[in-house]
Amino acid sequence: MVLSVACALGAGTAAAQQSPNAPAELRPTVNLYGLPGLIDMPTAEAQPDGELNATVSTFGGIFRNTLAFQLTPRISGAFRYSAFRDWNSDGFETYYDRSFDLRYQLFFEGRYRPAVAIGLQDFAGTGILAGEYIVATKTVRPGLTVTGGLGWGRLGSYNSIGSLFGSNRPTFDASSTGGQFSFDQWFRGPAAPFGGIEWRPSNRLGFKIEYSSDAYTQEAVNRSVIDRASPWSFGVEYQWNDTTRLGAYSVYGDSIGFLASFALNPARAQNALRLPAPGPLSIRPSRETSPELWTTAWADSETLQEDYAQRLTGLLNAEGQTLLALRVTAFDVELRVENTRYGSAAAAIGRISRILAAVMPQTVETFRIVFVEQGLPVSTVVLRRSDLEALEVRPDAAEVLQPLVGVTAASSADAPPAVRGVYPRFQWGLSPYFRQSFFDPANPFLFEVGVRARASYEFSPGFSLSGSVAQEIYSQLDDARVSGSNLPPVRTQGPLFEQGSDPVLENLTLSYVRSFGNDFYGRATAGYLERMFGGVSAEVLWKPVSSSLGLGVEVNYARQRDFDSVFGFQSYDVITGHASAYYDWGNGFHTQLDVGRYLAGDIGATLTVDREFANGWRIGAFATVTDVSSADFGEGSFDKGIRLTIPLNWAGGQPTRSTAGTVIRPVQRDGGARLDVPGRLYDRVRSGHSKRINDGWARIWR
Amino acid sequence: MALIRSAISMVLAAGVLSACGTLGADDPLRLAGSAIGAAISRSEPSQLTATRAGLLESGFDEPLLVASIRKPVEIKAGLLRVAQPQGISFWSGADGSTVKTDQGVLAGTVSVNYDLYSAQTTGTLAALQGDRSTPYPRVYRHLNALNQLDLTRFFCQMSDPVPETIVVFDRQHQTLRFTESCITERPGPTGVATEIENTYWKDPNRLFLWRSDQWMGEKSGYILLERVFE
Repeated sequence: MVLSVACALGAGTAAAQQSPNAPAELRPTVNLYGLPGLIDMPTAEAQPDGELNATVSTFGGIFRNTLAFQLTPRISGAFRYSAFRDWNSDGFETYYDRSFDLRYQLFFEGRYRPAVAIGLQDFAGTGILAGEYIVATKTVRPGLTVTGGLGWGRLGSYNSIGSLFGSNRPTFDASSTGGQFSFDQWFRGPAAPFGGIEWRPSNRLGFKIEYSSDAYTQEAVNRSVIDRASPWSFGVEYQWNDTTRLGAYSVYGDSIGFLASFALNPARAQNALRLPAPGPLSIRPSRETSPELWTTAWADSETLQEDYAQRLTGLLNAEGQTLLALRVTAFDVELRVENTRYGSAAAAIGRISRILAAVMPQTVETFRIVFVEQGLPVSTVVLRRSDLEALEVRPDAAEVLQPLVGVTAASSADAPPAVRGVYPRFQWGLSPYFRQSFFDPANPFLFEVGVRARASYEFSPGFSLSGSVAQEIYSQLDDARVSGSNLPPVRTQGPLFEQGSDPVLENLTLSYVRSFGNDFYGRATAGYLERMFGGVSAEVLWKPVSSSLGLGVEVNYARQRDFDSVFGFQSYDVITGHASAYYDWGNGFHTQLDVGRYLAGDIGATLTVDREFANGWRIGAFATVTDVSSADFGEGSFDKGIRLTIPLNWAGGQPTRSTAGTVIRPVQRDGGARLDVPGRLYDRVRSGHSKRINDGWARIWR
Repeated sequence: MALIRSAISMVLAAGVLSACGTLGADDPLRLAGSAIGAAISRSEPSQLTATRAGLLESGFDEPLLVASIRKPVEIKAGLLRVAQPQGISFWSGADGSTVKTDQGVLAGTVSVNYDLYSAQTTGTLAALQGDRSTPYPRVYRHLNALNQLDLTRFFCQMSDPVPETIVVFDRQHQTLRFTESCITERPGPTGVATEIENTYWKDPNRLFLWRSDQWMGEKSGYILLERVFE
């Protein structure tokens, strides 16, 4: 009976969109553009929320590298870098192009209704790939889908049925600087139908057939990049593993195409995070059964603080927690710790609490854990020991404990006594590094590998000298071009900083940070701030621990460093700074608005929008508009880019706070360039605030 | 200056291409051990080779639980009871991997493959003691890759007992076998409801499980628990 009841409740309901945890055979496949699609044409399917697809594809003389992201269940975006070999015109042998796509899921698939999507392809570039489409896809039986759509732009260039929304559409101009939204051409000009079928007979194998509405006018008609003998294409695909899908195609009758697509999702860990079991919480004997253990005479000891600091230091170190300061009284304990291991603050809270429960005398009921980030106290977490004891074995322990734990501001003042021997504090690190440069006209991808030595000397809490020296082992970065500029060359001379193979002083700064305890934080930094600039920097941030809003002001005097990145300076200097507003929308989106003066002296604003995941993944985009004209800015018209941060514990299964990340700019120009000051306050402060703690709260028992 | 830079260059070049130091250093081998968690991390089979006679001969007679899992590799390990707060037994292996049971019914795991964060046990325990007239809910919690809890809500029904004689570690036990059939109230990622079946071999005279085969989760499958010494 129970089975029939439950079947009636839940079985047989098709999911509108695949869950991020859906196996590969249920996720949409991608086309040569790296988006859900057939072979060269799109379908109306949507990837699972948060899906990140990296796709490389080639056919004829065309190469495409696409990074696509399912921003929300309905909205996806893509950035693409394409190469057209044998272009042989407009001054290019090989024509390189950067393009952005955007698509919106109008309808998810229903029992009778097909999925419907509308998309913009290359909506802000030079327009070589520009096209728009509306497309529908229906699953007619498991594993068999049929797609039909209507395309405009290049997707309406073959066998068009007429211009439905006006015929005025500008043609592709290879000499354009691009970067402007092409509102005036979307869905204009001739429209043409396309369609196809995908059949996936097994979990791994798939077949595709497609009728394309793209005439490849620029590539096949005006030039000889590819031969287009037919609108029909055929393909076979193979799901190599949960991440990788491979495809081989007969494209447009006369070309062979290949595709490799790699799918990642923050919700699908590459390796389960494996933490050593923390062991059961030590439970105190009751006051009734063991009254002799509940006296407070121990608190009168003159060596109390030192004794407990000694006992706790080793235990906390074993958990990657550095004990900086400690105050023990008869009824509560406050400790300042730096979490060097756990990406989840809640995991650190849990581990620290277990240690305190094992070490502290019975009468100590309140645990105050102050998290310190690089010398800056960022929050105080307050737990009651009896709550931990009462809840540990409940199945819903995480949910019940959460509202019983307090998170409040922490101040640099009123700090407990520092643990003897901690200050001055010397830390160092030696590690390999990898740097890269994208989209240089002659060398689209350049990189450097080397060894980086870092050291920090903290004289007293928050006051430190730190620096970083890098030695390249192999570098191509000096092969990048130095482009001309109508602005002070604050970034376009970047390749000149890469000449030579001697060690480079990346930064060397003296800094002081302080938490004022009233939701205000301050930072002052002086020295060699980054590879290209040195100077002084001051910042004030207001960010209450439980607030979604943060406000900050930063002012810098910066002077351009010598190209050899040692100690000298050049003559260019500037006063730069921004007023910043940060807001966490609570739905996985975070925005930052910076308004102020940039390195080249231009004035404007940067808007950054990030999709953030509870495990630390972050994928975002930014755009900067200043008073520099498009013509003076040069290629790309304005500064923009995407950025990606991946926590290494997600990939490696080992606890660590380290992340891997990159910023991808289509073009690095001088307009809208911001000084790269080490140790900015917001991310540092936020890591210990309520939102971050709550994001991974369940880890408190793990 | 050139001399200084050359010296720095040599020092850095002498550094191995693996991170070291006090800034962000972590030992990747820290999890190495000898029981369940470690065997999974190596993806190698690991077998408990001890026998009852051998254990008794060496004077061992503590409560011992032998756990066997089949995914991703077959592993059998002995677990000792390290604590029993509020009636929940914590059974730990040599590497600290832990199984939690409530009178034998699986309540959670720590560092055992994709962990079972917690499982409700009240309905199951009531059914094992005779209250099998109605289906009961059972909630399993798993920690997902986003560090958040996935709740799987089952409706369960316990079968009537079937007498069965079993052998655990060379010793025969008369038992009553119960089968707990559960199905989710909502479909999973594949669009169909998840069905699981837990089996318990209970002592006929008391609430004590000599053996059980219990579901840990979608990715981890089942764990076979056998009680060697009480």
